[in-house]
Amino acid sequence: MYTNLDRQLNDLLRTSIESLDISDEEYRLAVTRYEAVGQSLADYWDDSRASGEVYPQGSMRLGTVTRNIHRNDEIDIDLVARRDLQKGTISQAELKTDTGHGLDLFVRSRPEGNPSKEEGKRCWTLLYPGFHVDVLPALPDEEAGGTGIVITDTEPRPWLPSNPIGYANWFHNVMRKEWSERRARLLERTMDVAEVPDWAVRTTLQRTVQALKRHRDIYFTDSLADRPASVIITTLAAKAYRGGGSLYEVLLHTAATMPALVEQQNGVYVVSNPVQPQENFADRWRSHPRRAERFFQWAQAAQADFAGLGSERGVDTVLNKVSIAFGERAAVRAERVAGTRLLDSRRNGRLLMAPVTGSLGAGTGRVVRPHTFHGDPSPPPPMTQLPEALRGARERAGLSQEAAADALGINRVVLSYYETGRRPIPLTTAAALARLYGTSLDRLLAGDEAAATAVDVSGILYRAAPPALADTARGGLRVFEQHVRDYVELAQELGWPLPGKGQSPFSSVTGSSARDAADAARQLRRHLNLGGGPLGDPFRVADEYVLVWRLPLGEDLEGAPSGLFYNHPQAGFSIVINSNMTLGRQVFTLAHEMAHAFFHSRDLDVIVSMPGAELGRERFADAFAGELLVPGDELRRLVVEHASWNDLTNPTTVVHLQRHFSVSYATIRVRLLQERLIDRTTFDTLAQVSPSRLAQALGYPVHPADMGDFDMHPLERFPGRMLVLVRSALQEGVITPGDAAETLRTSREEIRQLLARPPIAPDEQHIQWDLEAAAFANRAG
Amino acid sequence: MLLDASVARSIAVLGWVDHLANALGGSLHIAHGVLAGLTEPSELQGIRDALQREANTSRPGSGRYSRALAAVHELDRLLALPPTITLQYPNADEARMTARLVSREADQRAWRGSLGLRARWLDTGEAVSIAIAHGRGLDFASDDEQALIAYTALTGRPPVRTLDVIRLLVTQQMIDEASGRAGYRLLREDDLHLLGGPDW
Repeated sequence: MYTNLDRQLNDLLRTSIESLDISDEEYRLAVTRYEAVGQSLADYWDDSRASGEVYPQGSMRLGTVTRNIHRNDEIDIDLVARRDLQKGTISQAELKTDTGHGLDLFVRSRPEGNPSKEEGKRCWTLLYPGFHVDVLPALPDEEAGGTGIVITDTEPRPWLPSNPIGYANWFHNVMRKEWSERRARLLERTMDVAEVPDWAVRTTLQRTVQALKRHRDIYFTDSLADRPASVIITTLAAKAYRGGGSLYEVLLHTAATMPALVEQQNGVYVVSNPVQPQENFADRWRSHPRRAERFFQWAQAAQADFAGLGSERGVDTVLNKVSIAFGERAAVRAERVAGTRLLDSRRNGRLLMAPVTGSLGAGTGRVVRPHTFHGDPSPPPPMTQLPEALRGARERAGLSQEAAADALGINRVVLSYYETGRRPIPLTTAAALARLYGTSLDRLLAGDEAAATAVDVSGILYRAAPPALADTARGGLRVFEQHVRDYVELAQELGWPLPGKGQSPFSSVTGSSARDAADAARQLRRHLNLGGGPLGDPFRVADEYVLVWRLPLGEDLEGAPSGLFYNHPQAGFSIVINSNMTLGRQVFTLAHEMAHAFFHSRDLDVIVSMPGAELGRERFADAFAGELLVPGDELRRLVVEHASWNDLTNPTTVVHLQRHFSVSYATIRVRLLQERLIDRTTFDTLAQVSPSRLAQALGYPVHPADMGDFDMHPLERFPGRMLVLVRSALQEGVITPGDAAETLRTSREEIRQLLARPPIAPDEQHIQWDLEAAAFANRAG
Repeated sequence: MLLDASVARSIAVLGWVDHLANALGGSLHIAHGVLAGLTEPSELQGIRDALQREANTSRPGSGRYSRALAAVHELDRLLALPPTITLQYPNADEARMTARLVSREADQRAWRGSLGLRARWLDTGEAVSIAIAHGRGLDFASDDEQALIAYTALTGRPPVRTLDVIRLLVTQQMIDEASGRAGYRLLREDDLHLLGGPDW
C-alpha cells in the first residue's frame, strides 16, 4: 500500500523520466523517415536480384528511446536493412557497399529532412537535424530461421548472428501483463482506441530502462567508451523486473539486482542474449576488463543515487537529486509539472512536509523518516540526546560539519541528518565521531561534556599553526591526536616502554644558511649510518627513529600544512605528512620535518610547516631536506663519472638521476640548480616535460600517486611501530579484530591481512620493533 | 538470528544469504551500523571497499582478482538491502548496553572482566549486535571469540559461528554437505578470506 508521499515521489520520478522521451510529433516524424528509407531501399532492391525489408530495432522497437545527452539531446533511431539473399552469395563488404549505394540514391533524391550520409563501423548513418538514423545491413539467418538475421562486422570474421525482433518480442513478453493493464487504464480515460497507440503506453520497466540509460550517460560523461551497452542494461533490467510495483521500487530494485544478474562462466562475465543464448552481450568485457569494473561501479552509484531520491523529502532536494541522476532537463520538467505553488513556496523558503497529510508541499514541517522500501521495520525514534550531544561535542572540538565528515570519510549531508535527528545515527558512527571529538560513546549518552583526553594535542597544534589553517586540516589534526592517543594507550596496555619526549643528539641550529643545512644533513647521515648514496625508501629509514603518520590534511595547500613535527610527551618525535600531496612532495616533507626533529626540537616541541613559509627555520629545513635526499657530493660524482649522465640539458638524464635518488623530478631539478650543475635557463626548460610519462617511456614503474589517481592503502598511514603494537595486542588477545579495525580506522579485512603476517619474535618486541613488519608490505607498493 | 559483520561477510561471499534466510524462516537480522543505508557508513561497506581494493591491486585475470571481485559482487547484493535482510535499530536500553561494552572506564572494564572478557573492550559493531540480540532474545552469530564470550555470559545462549551457520544450511537441506564443506574450506584456507575457526 502506497502512502501519499510514495505517490508524490513516484509522480515526480515519472515526470522526470518522461522528459527523456521523444515527443509524439518526433515519434511520428521518426516513423515517417524510416518508412521513407525503407521505401527507397525497396525500390532500389526491386531493380536487382532480391528484395528485402527495413524495420526498427533497439530502443525504438522496445519503447525505451532516450534522448542522447552527449549529442545535444538528439534522437538515435536504429534500423535493420535486411536483404533477402543467401550468405554464400554475397560477402560482408559487398553487402555493406550495396546498402550504402541504395542509401546514396535515397540521399540524392533530396527526401524530407535533407539527410546526409556517413559510414559507421557496422552500419551507415543518415544525419537529420535532431535525428541520427543508423542503418544496419543484414541477411536472413538461414540456420536460425524465423526472425534471425546475420550482420556484418568490422573484423574479418564470420557473419554475426542476431535477432532484434526476437529480442523485442521477449522484452515485450516480460512486461506484457503490466502493459495490458496500463493500456486498459488509458483506454478507460480516452474511450478511443485510435488515441492510444501502442507506443504511447509505457511500463515501469520501460521507464526504468530509460532512467538507467540516462544515469549511465551522465555517469560516463568523461569515458564514453567504457559505457555499458544499452542492450546489457535493457536485458538485465528485464531479467530483474518482477511484474509490477511503483516506479521507485522497480528502479531501486533493478539497480540493486543488476550486478547479481551478470553471470560468471569460467571467469568470464556473461550477459546472454535471452533469445540467442550463445551470444554474450558482455563479450567485449573480456578484452576490456576495465569496462566490467566500471559497470559494477556504475551500478553501485546508480543504487546510491536512486536510494538518495527516496531519502529526501523536500521538493527542492528531491529535484536536486533528480538533476544529479537524470540531468537538468528532467529536473526542470518535474519542477514545472509539480506546480507553481511549490515554486512560490520555495521562494519563500517554506518547503517542508505537511504535518497531517505527509505530502510534499508548503507549510509548517515535521521530520519524516526516510523510505526504506526493503521491508525493514520503521526505525525507532532516534535517541533524543545523542544527536544534540554529538553536535555539542563537535563544536567543542572546534570542527565544522565538513571537517568532521571529511575526517571520518562520510558525507557531510548525512552527518547533518544525524546531528538533527533526521536519521538515526548508527552507533558505530556515533562512537567514531565521539573518539574524533576526544570523548566517548558512554560519555555522550550520559550527557558528560568533559573531554576524555589527558593531553590536548590538537589544541597545541592549532595554536602553533598559522591562523590561515584550513578547516579540513583541523579535522586531520584531530585524527592525528586520536591515533597518537591510541598508540600510547596500546603501548601501556601491553606494558611496552614509551620513550617519553624525544631528545636529539645534536645541538640546535639557529641559522638558515644552505651550508649549515648541508652540514646538518651530513651529520645526520653519519649518525644514522646512512652512507652517502640514495636513501632508498626514506619512510622506512625514518620509521626507526620517528613516528611517521601520513594523514589527509587538505588538498588546498594555501591553508593546509604540508607536514608538522610534534615532540609528544610520551610517544616522542612524531611527524605528520599531508597525504593529500603527491608522493614526491611527501618524501621531501618527511626529510624537511626530520630537520625540525633533529635540529630544532631542543627549542620547540611543535612546528607546523605551511608551504611557502619564509621563516629562516623553514628555509634551513628545505635545504637540509635537499641535501639529505640528494647529497651534493654524490650528485656531482655521478654527473662527472658517468659520461652518459653529464648531458643535464636532456630531460632523460634528469629522469635517470631522479630515479636513482628516489625523489621527485622537481627535487632533482632544484638540487642540480643548487649545486650549480645547471643554469636557470636549463632549470626552466627542464620543467617543460612530463616526468611521469618520460619515466614510463624509459621503462620505469610509475607510482599511481604520480598519475593523479591514487588512494593510499589505509595501513600505510601508520608508523611501522603502531602496526607492530596492534599485531602484538591482537596476538595476545588484548584487543579484538574489531577493536583493531576501529583503532586503525579501517575494516576487518585489513586486520585479517595484518594478522596473516609472520608472528613477531618476543626478543624483537621491545627495542627493535620488528622493522620488517613495521614497514609492512604495503609500503613497497 | 542476528549476524555480526564477520558471519554476514562469510555467508554473503559464498552467495548463501537467501539460503540462510530461508532456513531461518525468511529473514536475517543485522544491527544498524554493521549494515546501513546505501549512503551511510557501515562495517560491511568498509569490508566491501577493502575487497574492492584487493581486486584493484591484484593482477587482472589472476585468481585473487577474480575471487576478490566475486566477493565484492556478492557483498553488493547484501549492501543493496534485499528484502530478506532486516536492519535492527538499537533502542535506548540497548544503546546503553552497547556503551558499557565499549566503555574505557575502569568500572565498566571490571564488569566486562566479570563476564569473562580478556580483551580491553569490544568494538562498537559487536557491542551493538550483542546488545540487540540480548535485548530481543535473538541468536547471535559471530566469529569473534570475545564477543561470543560476552553474549553467552549475558544470555546463557550457546555461541554460533560461521561453521554452525553452514552446518545449519546443510541440515536444513539448503545446500548439500559437499558444498558446505567446500565453502567452509574456502573461507578458512583461501588467503583472501583467512577466516580461521574450528575444524568441521
